[in-house]
Parts: sequence; structure tokens; C-alpha cells
Amino acid sequence: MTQVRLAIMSCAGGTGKSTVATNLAYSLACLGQSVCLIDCDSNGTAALFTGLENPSSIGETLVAALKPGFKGPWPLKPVWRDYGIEKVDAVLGGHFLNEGSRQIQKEPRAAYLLADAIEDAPLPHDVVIFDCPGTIEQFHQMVLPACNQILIVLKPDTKDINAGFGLIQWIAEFSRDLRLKPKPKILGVQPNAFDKDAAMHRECLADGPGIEDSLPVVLRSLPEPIHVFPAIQQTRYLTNAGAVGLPLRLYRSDRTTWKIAGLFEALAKAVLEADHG
Amino acid sequence: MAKGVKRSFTNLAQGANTAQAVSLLGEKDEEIEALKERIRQLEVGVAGGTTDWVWIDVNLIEPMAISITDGSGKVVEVFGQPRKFFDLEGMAQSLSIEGQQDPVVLRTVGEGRYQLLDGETRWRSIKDVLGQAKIKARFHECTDEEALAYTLVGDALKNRFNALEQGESIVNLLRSKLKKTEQEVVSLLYRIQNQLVSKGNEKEAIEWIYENVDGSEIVLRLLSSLNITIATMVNARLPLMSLPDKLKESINNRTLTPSNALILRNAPEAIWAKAIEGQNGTMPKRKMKMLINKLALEMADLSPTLAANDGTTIDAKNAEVESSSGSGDIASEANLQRSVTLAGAESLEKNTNATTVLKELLKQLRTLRIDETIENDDKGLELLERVSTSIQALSEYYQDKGKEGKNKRQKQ
Repeated sequence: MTQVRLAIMSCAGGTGKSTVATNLAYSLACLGQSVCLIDCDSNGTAALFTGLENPSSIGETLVAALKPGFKGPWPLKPVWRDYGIEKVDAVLGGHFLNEGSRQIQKEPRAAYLLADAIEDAPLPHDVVIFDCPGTIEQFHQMVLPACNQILIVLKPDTKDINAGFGLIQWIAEFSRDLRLKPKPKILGVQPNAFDKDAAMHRECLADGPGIEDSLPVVLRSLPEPIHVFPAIQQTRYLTNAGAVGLPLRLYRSDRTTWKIAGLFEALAKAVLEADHG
Repeated sequence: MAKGVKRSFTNLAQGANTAQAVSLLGEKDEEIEALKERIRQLEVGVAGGTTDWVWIDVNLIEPMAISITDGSGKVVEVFGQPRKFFDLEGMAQSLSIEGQQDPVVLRTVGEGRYQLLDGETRWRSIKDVLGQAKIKARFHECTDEEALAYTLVGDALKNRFNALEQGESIVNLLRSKLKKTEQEVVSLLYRIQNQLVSKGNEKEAIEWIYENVDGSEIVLRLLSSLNITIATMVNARLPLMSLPDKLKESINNRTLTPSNALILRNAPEAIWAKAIEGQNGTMPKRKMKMLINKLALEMADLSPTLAANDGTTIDAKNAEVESSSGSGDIASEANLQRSVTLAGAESLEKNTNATTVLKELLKQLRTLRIDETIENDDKGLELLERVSTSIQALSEYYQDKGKEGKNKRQKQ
């Protein structure tokens, strides 16, 4: 099977990329998949959400793999081993990426460094998840040639959706600029932090007969239609779980979380069933 | 953008929409380029590149012939290369300038006897026009069925077939695959198409047909591999196959387009030659229809009996006006009646036809909305053109008749 390389992107901060990334990694592991979570964000959220120590040197981060001629080994950190999860690893990001960014700028193949690293020193995992930064910058650009699937995470409000359309535009344009063949496919849009009491959230996600202007309808009408996954509800449990470095189900496995855990499991299955070229 | 109004998602998504469309178009361009390259390779590749060819005596080669056998293996029919038109002079010219670039493709059919799978134009030009003894050839051994498919696919890719040849070769290929007669294959095609039309849901209809109509899966898969729909096959290919031989011949030597042939079939045979001569046969359909009308009217030998047959029609009134302006003497019904008797039964029949045509045209014209939209209405416009051609022909006729009458009277 082709390795799944899923980029989790959004065009705004705080939409829940890292939350989705870590919980998805957990769900995939529960389905028997080995997963490598690569933090491409300089805010270092992935380390926090996986309960890992912050990296102490640049060599412990993704930057280590972005040197031309990199042949491995990847700076992999085991994740949630104490909880019986055997097959999840992480490559950390954090503030060292800012320093790395300055070095990378000078490289002629800057946009392809991550793709090169994965090609020259293949990761053994079934699934690689790139947790992207909230703005389109160098690391974001580097992920595009390295991934084969993209999941866009956004909050169902006009600001995030507007930014999301901008991201879809950027993906189409940048894939073409970089002449990516095959270009990565957009697996779908994952609405997160859905508040069922907010009229705007409900309107944004409305779908069905007679609905003409909502996120699902407009995404479906694009030249390359984009799927919208069922929304993940706003819940303090997700935030609390992240804060202690755990996926939701390891943090709290009672009936209060089964619905959201079910959504992540369905998402994990969708990731595995997608065509990865 | 109005203040205080929420912008629609459709509006917000415009940039994404355009970017995706541009990107998709770019991919399509690349796909087209890749396909062109593939076809180019096939044109060379059908002949397998240039490394593995040998010189073969042109006289050992024969055109393709495929035998159709019945259930017991007895040969019931042999048919040849589906393509009928070969530009030998053009090919000879190109061969004498560039030499033979691509080997022809042969299969062995007996001791020292070879059959052409690809390259009949090159072979005939080299043998018959240039009078050379040997030709570059490559071998591809295959069964009859494969040979036909090979030619069919190769020629289809190179766009060498016209619609008639394509239809015939597909029917032939199906005959050899299904071991059926031409009539059986044709009925099968109609049957599949009728089932598809009568059943609403296409996917379910196809499944039903696969299960219930013998051979339908082979038919539909073959057509789809050739990028032809069953509807095209039944509506635009089979009708060509039932054309009279004269018209088929003109299609095959490229002097008549298949669509014009279908129109011409319904016109009197006597005007076919004129309708095809020169560049006529390849005119657009619409012009062909006008030409047929004109030729049909010219053919009808109009005589005064026209008016006598129907004194109430507009044309008859025209006749009276024309003849009165020509001679100052109103043609009486009695006079016309006399002409009928003189003109004889045969011309009466012809003229009845001409009157009927005109009457029909005028009736149709009256039913059309005669207002400013008529010019935008193709059907109306065409009808108007036909009527005006007919009326002109009639008026010329009556002018001549009027002069004739005047001369006669002056003599008297």
C-alpha cells in the first residue's frame, strides 16, 4: 500500500489542527496503523498535545531532516507508549523551526526539501501526518510537495471559511506552480469547534434541498468538489485532553466522549480508504 | 459590496473556484499533449519502431482479408480492410521524397504469403505507383479477429475512417466475435439501443441488458473501448450501411459526406449526380438541403397545367398576374384546361408534384409565427429560403411562358 501522507492545514490559527492531528493519529493507531506525526509549526503545539518534552536542540526537530543530502535517521520521539500505544512517533517542531527557516531560504530546492527527505530517507510508518502552521509560510509550502492528501480544519464561521477558500485557492495555484504530479488531493474539510447554539455555525454547515449558499453546497460545486466531514462539536474535554498531552479517549473514555471519538475513527477510516495515487 | 450585508460563500469561493478551474484546464492540456504523443508513438509503434524490419517482396503481400466462419468452422464470408479510400498519389509523392519511414505491418497467412495489417496505402503506392519490388515490413502474427481489431483500432486512432467504414468494420468485428450474420448483429444493436431508451435508469438498464440480451456485454464493451456510444452506432452508423451502393461509393471516395448522403437518399435518384458533383457533396447539410430543393424543382418540367390543377393556390394567382402583366390578356381557366389536355398525362403528374411541394411549403410557412423572431428561427428561415427559391423558379417559368404566348399571338 502507498504510504498515506496527510497534511492537516488551515488558513487561520486556533482552528484545531493539532487537536485533529493528535486524535487522528491515535484513532489510526487503534486501527493498527503505524503513524508518524510531523510538527511543521513553530508554536510547538504537537509536543504539548503528545505530552513530549520540548526539543532541547535544533537537531531534535524537523530541521535536522531538511539538510540537503539528508539520509536519516529521523529524530523520532515515541508517543503514548506508557498508554499501550506502540506505533505512534513524532518529529517535533517548535521555535527551532524559525531558525531553520532562515537556513532553508538559501537552498535552491527549498520548497522540495521535505519531499526530498521523505524520498531519500523513507519513514517506515503506514501514515505520516503533517501538522501545518496556521499561515502559509515556508514550512507550509514545503508540505505540499511532500503530502498526497490534505485535510482542511476550520471553525464553521465566515472568517475561517473565507480563509479556507483562500487556502484551497493557494493549494491549486501552488501545486501548479510547483508542477506537482500527481498533485495532492484534498481529502475534505473538517469543521471543528462547532457550537450548535450558534446560528452562524448552523447556517455555515447547512445542507439539503433548498440550501444554496453554505459551505457544503459551495464546496460541492467547485470544479474539483470537496467533501465536508461531520462537524466536531466544541467541547472542553478536547481542550483539556490536549493540555495534558493525550488524545481524547486516553484522557476520558466514558460515554461523554464516545460521539467525538467516533468522528475521529470515521475520519481515520476515510484517510485510509482514500486514493493516495 | 454593500455595507452590512453578509457576503455569500459563493462569492468568497470565487478565487478558489478560478484557481481550481485553471489548474484543471492545465492538466487537461497536459493530458491532451500526452495523448497526442501516445498516438504519435502508436503511429510509429504500430510499425514497432524502425529497428526490427525486413525487406519483403511486394508481390508476396496481399491486402487484409478476414474470414467469417459459421458455427461448424465453415467459411461463410471473407471481408477485407475496412478502409476503402487510399490516397496513392499523395503517398507516392511523400515516399519518393522522404523514403519509407515506417515499415508496414504483416502477418503470415501461408508459406511465403503475407497479409497486410497496416500500411495498405504505402504498399499499393510502392507496388503500383512507384513500381518498386520491395517494401520495409515488420511482422505481427495474430488471429483473424485480432487482425480486424488491430486495423480497426489503429485506423480509428489515426482518424482514417469515415463514419461508414467505421460502422461497417465494427459490425464486422462483432460478427466475428459473436459468430452472427450481419442482420443478426444489426438487430442486436437495435435491440440494445431500444432497451436502453425504454428503461429510465441507465446503469440499471445496462445491467438488465447484460443479463437478458445475449452478446450485449461484448457489444457495449467493444463500443466503449472505441469511444462510440450505442446511440451513435444505431442512429449515425447503421443508417449509412443501408444506403444505396452509389451513395456509399461516393462516401468512400470522400466526395460525399455521410450526413449529406442520408439527406440525399430521400431525394429522387435522378438528381444525385448533380448534388454530388464538384465540391457539392461535401457542402454543409443545410446548403445540401437547399441544393436538393433547387435541383428537384429544376427537374420538374413545369407547364401551364400547374395553375389548372389548383386555381385557388397562390402560385396559380401569381401565374395569372405574371401572364396578365406579360400579355395584357388574362389567362382563362378554359385556356389552361386546354393546355392540360395538350401537355398530356405525364407532365400533368410532374406538375402536380411541383404544386404539391409549393402548397405544402406555403402551408408550413403560414403556420409559423411571422414576426421579427422568424429570422432567428432556423426552421423558418430555411423554409423561407425554400419558398423563395420555388417561387422564383415558378415566376421565371411563367415569365418565359408569358413571352412565349405573346410571341405566338403576335405571329397569329
